[in-house]
Amino acid sequence: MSGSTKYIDARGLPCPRPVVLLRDAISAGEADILEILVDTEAARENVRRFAVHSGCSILLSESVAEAVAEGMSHGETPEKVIGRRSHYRVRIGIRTERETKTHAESEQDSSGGASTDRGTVPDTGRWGGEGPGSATEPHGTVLPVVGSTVLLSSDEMGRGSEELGRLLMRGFLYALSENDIIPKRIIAMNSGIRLAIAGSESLVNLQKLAGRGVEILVCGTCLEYLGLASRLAVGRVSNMYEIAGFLAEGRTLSL
Amino acid sequence: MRASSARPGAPPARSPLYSDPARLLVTFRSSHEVLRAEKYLKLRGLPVELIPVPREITSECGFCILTPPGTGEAEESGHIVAGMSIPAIAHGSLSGSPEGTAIRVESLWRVRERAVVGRHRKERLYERIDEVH
Repeated sequence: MSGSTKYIDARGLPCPRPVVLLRDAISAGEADILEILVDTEAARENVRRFAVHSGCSILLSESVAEAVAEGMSHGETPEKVIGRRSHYRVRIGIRTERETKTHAESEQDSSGGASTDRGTVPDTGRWGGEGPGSATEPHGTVLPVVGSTVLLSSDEMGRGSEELGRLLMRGFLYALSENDIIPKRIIAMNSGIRLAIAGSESLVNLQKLAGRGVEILVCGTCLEYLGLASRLAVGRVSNMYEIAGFLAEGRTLSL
Repeated sequence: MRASSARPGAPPARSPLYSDPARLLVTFRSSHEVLRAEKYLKLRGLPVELIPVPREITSECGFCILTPPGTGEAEESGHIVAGMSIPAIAHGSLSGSPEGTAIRVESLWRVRERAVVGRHRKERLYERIDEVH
């Protein structure tokens, strides 16, 4: 099913119709490539941002100029060109798998993006696509799993035995730090914040995840309540508004 | 249960391809023992890591001890780790452990690793070096 393209003509449609059409087409999942036409710069930017935020790659984003003539009807040759107008074409690649690759990996991966441990999804770098955040980013971008959050509300994994729970959490964070696919962010709350403080046995693994682009957020109230604010050793302090916002986005793994 | 022989094609004592200082990986018979071993070795001044047993060694769940880089280099008879010789660890027990009873080692492996450019995870080779039963 590779390479099928769906075309959407959103010219002349008021905001937010272009993005709505794009969203519906992405979730319908009928094609690998969507090509959408819009006629304002604002619409182009909205479409681009939405596509990137949804984990898609921008394959092409160009403006197309066309002549507008008087007297054109039913195949007659235009007599007089009265002006030019432009519209914008944005071609979007739908990703079927989420991957994490660093800039260095995309640049230097000798297998060219189709190695066995990442399935057969071609990487953004080879399509010349654009990753989140920058229109001028070179091939290869940091692509965490879009919108995926891991919530650590305890320093133990599961209940029943404290010692076992802490052992499992250590093992989980170690294995996660070595995994190809990693979350976009980790939120630590309640006793979960103990994992992120100086002396934590999981600190090095959280630091490794942070080094790979995972955002580590630690609840400020929890730090204060447990008297550990001065010992935070990875990530940054967050608040309930921000945390609630991320959790409300969905795609959260809660441990 | 666990692999009982050295991996086929295990490299000679010092492979030029895996040039990072080698480590030792020690497995135990139960999670209780691995936890006690970690405590014991850290008390003896060896900063070991407690990690899930790699898939190359077992498909079952379990945890093991990984020693710091450089402790896996010496000839088997000469391995000294935190003042204990590895043969004593492999064939016998860690006496003097915090609770007073011996901790028996199940298997001992030499771990060679190397960083691969562009990948976040090191490539590792595991070679069993205790006596095969």
